[in-house]
Amino acid sequence: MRRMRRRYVLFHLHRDGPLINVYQLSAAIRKSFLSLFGEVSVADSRLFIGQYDTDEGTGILQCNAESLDKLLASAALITSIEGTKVSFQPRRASGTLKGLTR
Amino acid sequence: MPVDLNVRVPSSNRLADFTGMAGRLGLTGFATSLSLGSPVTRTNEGMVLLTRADITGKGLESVKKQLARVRRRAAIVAVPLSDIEVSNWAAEDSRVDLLAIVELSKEYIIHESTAKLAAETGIALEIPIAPLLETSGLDRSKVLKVYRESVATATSAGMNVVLSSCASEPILMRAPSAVWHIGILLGMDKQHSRETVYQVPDRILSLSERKRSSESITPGIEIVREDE
Repeated sequence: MRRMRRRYVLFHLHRDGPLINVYQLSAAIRKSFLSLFGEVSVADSRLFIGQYDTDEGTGILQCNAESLDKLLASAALITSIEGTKVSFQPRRASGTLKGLTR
Repeated sequence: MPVDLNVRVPSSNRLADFTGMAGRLGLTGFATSLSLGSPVTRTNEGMVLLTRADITGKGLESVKKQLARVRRRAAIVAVPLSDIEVSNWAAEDSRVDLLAIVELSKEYIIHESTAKLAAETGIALEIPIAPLLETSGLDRSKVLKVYRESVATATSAGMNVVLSSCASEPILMRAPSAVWHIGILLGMDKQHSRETVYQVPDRILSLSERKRSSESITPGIEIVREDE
């Protein structure tokens, strides 16, 4: 099986309302992605959110390289999560985790 | 310079909220319909605020009258796409900066003839992203259909496209890095989408500045010396 190329994206989730945890954020991105691109795309995306700081709203999104642009478009269209209004901002993308901190 | 060319600030006492959000999102400026005193204002934080005029009203005569009145007072002049007569007339008038999609019905999308005229005049097509944020599912697919067709028509005619938030609340504004990903949903490739966010607004603003100068008559024709 061909090894999947991954991408890492440093992001900032701006919010207007109560805190949002990583599970809520991850579910919201998956739901938006599912609505726009369908079940197969969600399955192939291998979305994972790590190092998420609930207070700051910053974290690192990991996914399959081919799904990256579609995932970020889906995240950009999210307006609210559990009643909290949000605005998703991708900050930097890299092929390695180390590349994000350089 | 990433600039949002359409932010709907409801009143001047909310301006600071929008300016703060724009700064956090990485925007260098935005255009609003609020009366700011001059077409271009710079805040203490370095944010560029632009006066925008949306030409409303039905019929060609009404549009012509308003256009003559607002051009020198506004940094951005937008004409909503309406019937073909008004749209084609606006597409040929160099005082206009943007042709904006405001209604999602078949009659109000951009036609090939309008796009060709606008491309020659240097007028860009404005796509508001607010309707994409306000809808979901089948309703959003209808918005996407209109937008994708409009982008394809404009692009094939050589007309510039610009993506604006049309945000009525600060949290509805989107970062430039988020907006160009939305552009990909509208059928643009990566390079084109990035250009619509990072370069096209700049081009529109520099062209608009020339249009506002008292020496400018029409693109290519300027008064360089008046006879005494």
